[in-house]
Amino acid sequence: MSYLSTKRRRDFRASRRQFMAVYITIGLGILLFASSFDAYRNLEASYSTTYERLAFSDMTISGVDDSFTTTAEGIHGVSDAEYRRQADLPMRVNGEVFFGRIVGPAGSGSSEINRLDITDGSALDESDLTGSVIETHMATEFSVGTGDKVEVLGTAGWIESTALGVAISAEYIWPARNRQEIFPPPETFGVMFVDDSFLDQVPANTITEQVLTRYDSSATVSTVDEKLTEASTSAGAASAIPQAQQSSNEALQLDVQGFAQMSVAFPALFLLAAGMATFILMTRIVFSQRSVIGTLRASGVSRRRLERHYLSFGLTAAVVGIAIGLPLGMLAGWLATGAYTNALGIPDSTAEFHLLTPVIGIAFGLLTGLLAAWVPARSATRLSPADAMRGEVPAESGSRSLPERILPPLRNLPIRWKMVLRGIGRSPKRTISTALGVALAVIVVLVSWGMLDSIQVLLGDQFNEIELQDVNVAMAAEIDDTTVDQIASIEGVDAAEPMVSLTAAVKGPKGTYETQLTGLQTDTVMHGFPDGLPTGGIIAGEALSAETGVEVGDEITVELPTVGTSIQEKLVGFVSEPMGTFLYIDNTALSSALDAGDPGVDGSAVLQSPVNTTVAARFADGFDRDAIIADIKKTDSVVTVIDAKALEQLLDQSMSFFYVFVGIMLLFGGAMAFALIFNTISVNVAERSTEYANMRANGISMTTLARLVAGENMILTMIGIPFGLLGGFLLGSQFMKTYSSDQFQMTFSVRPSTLILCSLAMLVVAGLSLIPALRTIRRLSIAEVVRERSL
Amino acid sequence: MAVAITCSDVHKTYGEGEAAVEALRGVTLEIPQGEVAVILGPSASGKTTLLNQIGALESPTHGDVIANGVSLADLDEKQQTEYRLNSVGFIFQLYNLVPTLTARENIGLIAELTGSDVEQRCDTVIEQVSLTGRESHFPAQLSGGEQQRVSVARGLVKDPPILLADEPTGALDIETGTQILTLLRNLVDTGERTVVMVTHNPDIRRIAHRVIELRDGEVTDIREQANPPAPADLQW
Ligand SMILES: Nc1ncnc2c1ncn2[C@@H]1O[C@H](COP(=O)(O)OP(=O)(O)OP(=O)(O)O)[C@@H](O)[C@H]1O
Ligand SMILES: [Mg+2]
Repeated sequence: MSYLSTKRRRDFRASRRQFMAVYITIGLGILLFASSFDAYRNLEASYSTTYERLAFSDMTISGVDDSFTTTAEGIHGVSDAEYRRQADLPMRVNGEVFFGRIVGPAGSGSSEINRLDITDGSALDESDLTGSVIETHMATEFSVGTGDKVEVLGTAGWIESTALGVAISAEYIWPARNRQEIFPPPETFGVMFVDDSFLDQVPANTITEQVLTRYDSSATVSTVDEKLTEASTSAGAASAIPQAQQSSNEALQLDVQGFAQMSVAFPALFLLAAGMATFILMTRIVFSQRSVIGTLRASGVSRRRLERHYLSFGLTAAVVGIAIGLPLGMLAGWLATGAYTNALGIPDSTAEFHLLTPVIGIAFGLLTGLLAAWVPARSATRLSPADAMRGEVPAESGSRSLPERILPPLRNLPIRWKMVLRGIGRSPKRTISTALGVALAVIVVLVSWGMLDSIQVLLGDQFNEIELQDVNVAMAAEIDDTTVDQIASIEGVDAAEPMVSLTAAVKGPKGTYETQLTGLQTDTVMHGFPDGLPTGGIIAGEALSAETGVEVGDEITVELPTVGTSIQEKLVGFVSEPMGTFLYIDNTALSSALDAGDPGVDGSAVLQSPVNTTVAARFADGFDRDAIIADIKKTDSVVTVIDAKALEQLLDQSMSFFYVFVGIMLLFGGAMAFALIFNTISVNVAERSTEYANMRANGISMTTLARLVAGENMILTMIGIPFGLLGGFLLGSQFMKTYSSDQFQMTFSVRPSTLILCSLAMLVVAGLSLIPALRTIRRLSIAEVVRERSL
Repeated sequence: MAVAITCSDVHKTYGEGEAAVEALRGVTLEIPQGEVAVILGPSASGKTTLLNQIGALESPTHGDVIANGVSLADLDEKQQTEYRLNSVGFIFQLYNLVPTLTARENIGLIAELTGSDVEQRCDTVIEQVSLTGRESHFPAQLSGGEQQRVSVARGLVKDPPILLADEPTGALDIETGTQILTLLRNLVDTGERTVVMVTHNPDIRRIAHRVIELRDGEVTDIREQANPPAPADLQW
């Protein structure tokens, strides 16, 4: 059918700009899919390579002794179990003090589980028992390298250690302190690997005993997890954390999940838009070719052949879109993986060719093109040749518009504006497709922008409503009224109070949850609670209920492994906080609960111990933060000052990454909106070219005509915007829900300014896409339109 | 002479109930092979409708049409297509040219449907309709008469035994109209073809071998004319 293909080629050329819009949308959809899907799979592959190579622990059990290794190894599916100790305590580098961690090797001598990847210097050495290996993030943040000195606050004062080397650890690819503190500001945390004998010199209550395990490669992870958790519980473990919940891995998986989700949701939106753009265009082409279709059918062209002819338009559009989007997408995926693994320092960066990516990409691209062309192609073949022959029967009927009926004064508008209003109602299909197209574009933009907003709202809530202290002051002396007053009296400090922080584990019917118990003074001003902190009982983050099965009113047992005891308290309420799932208690209640428990434990002594308690301080407005912090550091017995707002600042700085992401999505969403609106508008204009030509012939000026066309299409855009805002909000909320866990309770929050800006942006895009359409009208040769009888 | 087209009690009703329009109310007629038959009648009398029945563009509500030996009433979709492909050529009132194809390509599009030597057949019909030299123009670059000639050539290129023309001269001046009519007459005179032509120009009927008059969907008169004059000799 060479002339039919000539016809197709010419049809493409005649609507080349509209087809260009289709190529771009399909291309963007495929690009987004290929890049995020590749990035997702590459990341997953990179992590598992690293985890395998370094024998990353499958489950880490804390609060058990050496003997548990035998128990663990006895469980079917566990191939190896090793014991190690680690301690959280003040460290000092070049005079800077922070709260760091030292980790002993698993097993005796060289670790078989959680091996280190030495990137500089050498590994630990039996001949230098005070030597250490520095975790790579600490090495970077504190500028310590091989041969440099690091000090650790031991039982008998500061102990000096020389760095033998620097290493990457699978446990700290993302340097999280624990599951509750996923984002410790880098200057407040550091990890150092030491010989086990080193841990004999630090206070016993800073040490956590752990058993690390590896599973057989053939074992079913969830089954072994379950059995091992059971065994740990009966052995009295404080926690048993499977690899999936290990703090670093879990944080990284958030990103992997993000890419995975992105590889589905955004391409789906774009392909939907592409499908609509194709559909609109093809419907228009088929409609305008009614008489040609009739002629062909009258000449004996079969339905099938005609259907294939119009389907081939969709197919061609899809093939071009795929040819543009797929290579670019795979390139972008490769670049993204490289940039990402580089930024995070993932040692094994895998960027493989995944056959599945092009296969899925091509399949979905073709499906989009074919499905979108299918309906118009069908309607082309359904057309009875006799009907088609009778020329264009106006399918649209005229009537008063809805606004005119609702608001009778509108009937006094100039006739040309009434025309605009009636134009909208005259072809419901067109109105719906334009509005839907606008809505889709708004969704893409709003979802990305809303994520940015949500993070900022979350930060605002966390630091303006919940964590109210500016700093926590760690001291060497007992924390009592005198020490607190000492801090409170410093100029610029508005308030100071003791804040207790204890590692805690809650056991419930559904499981054990490891977190932190925070003790605060009555009427605290350092932490915001919606209904204040009750003087008796415990308040917990609401995710605790899902994690352990405890409910308000339950008497719960809270294990305090660093104190070596547990307390019984009533759970009196839940709070909804964006970051972490913590326990809160009034200090007086905590003290008496400790007294009521283990007779060897003295409540007030625990609360006054500087290991458990810091002085939280709030600053008055109008003072220089850095100056106040410097003044505090100069005070007697102050070991270090932890800036509680550092995380806020850190995240604020890393917002630039989000701005880039949102910028790209705005660009893509804008391009998609442009393509879609452009197609709809130019189809609107093409369908009415005879009408416009006649209006021009009857003396309506070009300016008036342009205003009419612009007015009608801008109104259509405005109809679509609210639907897009609603859809975007729903989709965004769904996104955030999948991200929420006990670590983050994310809600999708959009600032009013974002809603307004999104809407304005869409109007601008609609305005821009009107330009080419208006140019077409201007160029419309009235004579030609009237002459070309088979328009 | 053999009969090319037989209509027996053909009814065609559009729509249903109150909105029903009886476009044809029992048309019975015969058109022998090798004749030019003209269907004459006022607007809305059912001329196009009758032509559509003969061309199997739609099926009669009642009655039957037998054309080129094929009974059209009970044809299914596929058979209708087959019949149209092999038995009829259409020349439309509106030319219905593909605006994105040149004159030659518009003709070639149909030529391809039947048999080989597409180019040669195109050349032949282009010459027949005197379009040589204009063949690579697009419809918008052609005059109305030229467009109509492309549409005639398109109807001829399949070399069908029956040619159906709906007001082929409606939009043309006398001279061009005459050219087209001459062409159609020549086709009949030089071969076995049958031409059925719709018009409401009474002058044109004089070139026909047979004049069928329609009024309100009924045949009011059928007249045979022996030795009709050549179109060029008409005074109109
Ligand atoms: N699809 C249809 N639905 C309803 N009515 C129709 C349809 N097609 C034709 N008609 C009606 O059938 C009648 C005959 O129409 P037809 O086109 O055959 O007339 P005609 O004789 O060709 O007129 P003209 O000389 O104006 O072309 C008309 O009243 C017309 O309105
Ligand atoms: Mg007619």
